Amino acid sequence: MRWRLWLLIAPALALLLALFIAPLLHYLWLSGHAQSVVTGLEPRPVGAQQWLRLLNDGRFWQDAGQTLRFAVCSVGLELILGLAMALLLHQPIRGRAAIRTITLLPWALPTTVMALGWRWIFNDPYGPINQVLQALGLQPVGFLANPALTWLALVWADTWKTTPFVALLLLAGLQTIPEDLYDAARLEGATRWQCLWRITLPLLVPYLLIALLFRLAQALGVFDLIQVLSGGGPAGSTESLALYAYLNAMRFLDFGYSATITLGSFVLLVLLGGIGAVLWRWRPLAGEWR
Amino acid sequence: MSQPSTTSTGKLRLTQVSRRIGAQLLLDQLSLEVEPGEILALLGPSGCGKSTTLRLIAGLDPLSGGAVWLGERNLTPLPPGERRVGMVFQSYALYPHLSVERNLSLGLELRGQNQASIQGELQRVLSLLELEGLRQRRPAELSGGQRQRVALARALLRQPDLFLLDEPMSNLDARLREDLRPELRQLLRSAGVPVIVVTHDQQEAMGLADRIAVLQEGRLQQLDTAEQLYSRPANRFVARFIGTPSINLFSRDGQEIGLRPEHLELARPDAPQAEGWRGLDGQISHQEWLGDRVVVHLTTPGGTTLRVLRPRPAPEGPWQVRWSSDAELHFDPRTGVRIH
Repeated sequence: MRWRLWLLIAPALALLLALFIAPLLHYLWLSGHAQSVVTGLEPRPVGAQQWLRLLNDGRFWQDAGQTLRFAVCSVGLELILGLAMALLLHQPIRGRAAIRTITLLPWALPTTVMALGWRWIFNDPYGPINQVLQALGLQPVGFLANPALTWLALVWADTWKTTPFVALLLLAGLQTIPEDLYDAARLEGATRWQCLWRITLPLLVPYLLIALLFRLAQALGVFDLIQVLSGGGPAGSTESLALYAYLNAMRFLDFGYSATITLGSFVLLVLLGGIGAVLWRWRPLAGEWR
Repeated sequence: MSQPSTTSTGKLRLTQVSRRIGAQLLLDQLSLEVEPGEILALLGPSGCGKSTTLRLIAGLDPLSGGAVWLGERNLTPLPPGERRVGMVFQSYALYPHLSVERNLSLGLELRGQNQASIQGELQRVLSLLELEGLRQRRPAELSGGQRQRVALARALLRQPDLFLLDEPMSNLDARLREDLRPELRQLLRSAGVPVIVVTHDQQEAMGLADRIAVLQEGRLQQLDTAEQLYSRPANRFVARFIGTPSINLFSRDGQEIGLRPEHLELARPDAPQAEGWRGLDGQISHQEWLGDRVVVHLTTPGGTTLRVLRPRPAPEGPWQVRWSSDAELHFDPRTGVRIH
């Protein structure tokens, strides 16, 4: 009987092996080998040397911090704005279907296209924002030349694009909550604010969690947006881990170290997930909201 | 602080209550009164306005006209939270993320009542409805009957001045429904406040309520006891809606005649006919077992179908359907109003 079960999950298992386990093992092997222009692109075993290099690589840790900063800020903002948007779109207003479609448009744009768009909008001094600033008699702002502003510009562009996706997910969640619950709460004298906190949000937790996981996974692996909008600059201040790994492989032609960076990021992600899971199970935080 | 429910409670009075959405009239000038301790059923087919009425009384939907009074209090301008209404929803509307205990206490918490007095009242209704063992369960872990009891407990906990129940039994299986009916009736009556139960099930209405209001298309057709609705229906609609198997209706001499299936008897055509009795020849088309009784369907030469309720199936052969003319109900064929 057992072998039949294995037979049934075999296709899925094969796919998982080919697309996930195999590259992972290959990278594990590669991180123990130097393979770059120096070695004539031939893999040469070097033991733990590249892992030690990673631990002492200031750029790797700086990028890790920058990636986390970008992910936490943009996903946090997207969840808050997405929730507000979903609550708004859930109201019985005229032309609701049309409004829902329009709000989803930014999400439908390819990231590269919208990143180019935002690069122009933030352009100094010819972009629309600076044009307006100058027309008002103000100094143009170098959004993409100032490390303190550029990462915010990236967070903003990402939020603009992905908030509709979060809103759509949460809207689907809102539609599963029966109206009766609100009627019952109204009979108890609940205000709209109390309804939001006591009924809507607790019942939306599964959907918030899905949105959070989806978005965090994407944001922590961010590449295309940064590559196009800021190129990781100015002075590497917006470089993400994925971009650093890409640069090592495609620009410095150091495949061995690129694999080590990728695996290093993977380990950090797993750690982050572990911390999240522990917090999730931690009683004082959980309560009835779970 | 538990208010004595006797002082503020009074008669529930609806005066010409209407509900209109755009051009659609959902409820047309409904007036009725319910005494404290009385149970009134709102009965009718779906879309007749019975649930609308309940929502208007609770304040969940705005009135288009008329007023709702409870004793000396005009409820019409009050928001639902200030009407002191205990309501049981058809879906029970239990909060799925909260335990039984918290489902009950949430309303009191929202009102800022202190924990000590909440616990006291909680204990009272939990033991009244035998829910103590289920305090920590979530609604998903309860059976249909248990959920209904939790919904009832939540309504009772508020010590309401008025009880509203929307199809309280429709989510239960037939057997449980029958078992719970007397219990529910007892519980509602003991609250000593006006009670309105909405149902589409005439057996439930008759089993639970003291009086029944039959509604159709937003209009009150008749408000009376079950017995009166049955034997003296105000019109053709009520006559057809009340009673299973439903009443026989046919035309004779420009009038519409109504005859209950249990008032009809079968006799051989050549058997002598008693004085004051009438008869119609008929052919058995089929017979329907109800378990304890049989419905015999007959077709007359004129093409009328008659249902006759008998203790046993009828043998083959020519039959005559007979009835005492006292049993006849006469309706105006144009308006449907009963004239005799």
